[in-house]
Amino acid sequence: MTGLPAFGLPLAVSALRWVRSIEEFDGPILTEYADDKGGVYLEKWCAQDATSGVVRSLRVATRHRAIAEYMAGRTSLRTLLTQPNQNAGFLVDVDRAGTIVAGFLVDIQQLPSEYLPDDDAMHDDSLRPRTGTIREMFLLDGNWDGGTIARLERRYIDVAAFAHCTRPLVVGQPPQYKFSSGWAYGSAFATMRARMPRALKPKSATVEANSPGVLAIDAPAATAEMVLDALRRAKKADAITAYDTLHDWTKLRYEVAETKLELQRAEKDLRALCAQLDVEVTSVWIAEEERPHHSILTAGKLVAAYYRRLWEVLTPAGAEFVRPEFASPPAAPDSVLVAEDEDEDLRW
Amino acid sequence: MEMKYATHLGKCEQPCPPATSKAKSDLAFRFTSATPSAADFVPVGIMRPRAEDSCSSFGLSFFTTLAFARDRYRALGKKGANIAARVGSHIAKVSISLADGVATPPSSSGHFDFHEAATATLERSVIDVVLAPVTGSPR
Repeated sequence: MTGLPAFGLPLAVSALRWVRSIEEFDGPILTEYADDKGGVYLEKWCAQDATSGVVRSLRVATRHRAIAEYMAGRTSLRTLLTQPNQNAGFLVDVDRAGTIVAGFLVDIQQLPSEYLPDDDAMHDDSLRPRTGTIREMFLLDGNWDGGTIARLERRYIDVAAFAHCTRPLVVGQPPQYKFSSGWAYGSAFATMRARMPRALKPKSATVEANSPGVLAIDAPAATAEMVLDALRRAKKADAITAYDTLHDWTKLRYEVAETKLELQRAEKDLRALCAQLDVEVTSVWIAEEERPHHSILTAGKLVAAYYRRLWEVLTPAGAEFVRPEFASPPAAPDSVLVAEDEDEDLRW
Repeated sequence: MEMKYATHLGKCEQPCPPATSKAKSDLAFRFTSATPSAADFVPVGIMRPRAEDSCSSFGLSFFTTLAFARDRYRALGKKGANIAARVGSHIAKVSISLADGVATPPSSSGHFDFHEAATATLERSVIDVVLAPVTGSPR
């Protein structure tokens, strides 16, 4: 390696805590670090000395919002590395044992071109790790409040718990939403959240309380992948059609179910949407002989509420889910937009 | 199947190799030096261990087609990651056999991790080497 001699580095740059790999290929390319005062840093791999194995990386201070905008495809890697820090950064040389052996304060724009990304290098989601803990982010617009964050977090966890508890491979227990006086499909989500193993549960990681801000939720890779799969299914045209058909009757009130609901059609519609969403029907439907209209109406309302929650994650009000593949989702079904989930505590 | 680096695999948080991995007999493509040797087939988690290494760190990156490998090489070049020094300047065509190990399901970009069997010597299974695409744009 060539360059200025080593000198002492500021504590904030030399003693950082690894947070996550943002992009990697046979080792890290872009990595997020933090200090113990809430500072956010990025490290970009620049070069490696063939003989000594020393790796030279660029470390810069940044913000959660800047990282989220990069991962949403709004800004380039070059912008991410230069803008939040006015082109100031540190080159650090790290040996095979992980020890910093040299450090240089640098003007990023003056670095050798091979250290820097092309102007048009954008985030590549296929370089994002698929194991460990996955950090999902929501870009918040300028009008967010505490309610926005609470609702986003709740909806993401609802979707994860529902997907987990209703997957054909793991279903082994009957639905848990029946209680002595009837059913409450709203409480079914609470039950599913409780049934989700702790090791699989997503949890809030950070909120950058700027305006606009960013909400980060950490999810085990298996859970994050399950939610992504559910979102991919939800936005397919066949799923939208199946939901619209189901929604025709799931909005019925229980009092009129016996006179207005045709059981065979309802079962067909329920199975159609469940098939689209990879939901095991027996995990949501207690086929009650005494009150069959009520039981299938409850199951239909439950799956419809899950579908609406999927769309709330896909196209949240006042926020944007940071995944390039969902950057331009199809138009949400009208019934998703107008349906109010006021039924959270509905009893019959 | 007895795996290479079994001690490291056993320390991973999740089952490693993943349960979805399968043995395969196929041609696959990997970034290497111009004259591939055993050193071109050492996982990054062994070459450069880190505390945050995951199962993937102990697998070898391969692509299902030469086109996928070239696409990835170009994309990495745009990142300013000095790609030739990092993963090599060439792409090797490797004939993988069932006894060589297990592969994760390929991603949409044709990439998969290959976890070697203890007896695998993939450098001997290289049947062709081509120059990787030139990367980076002039500034």
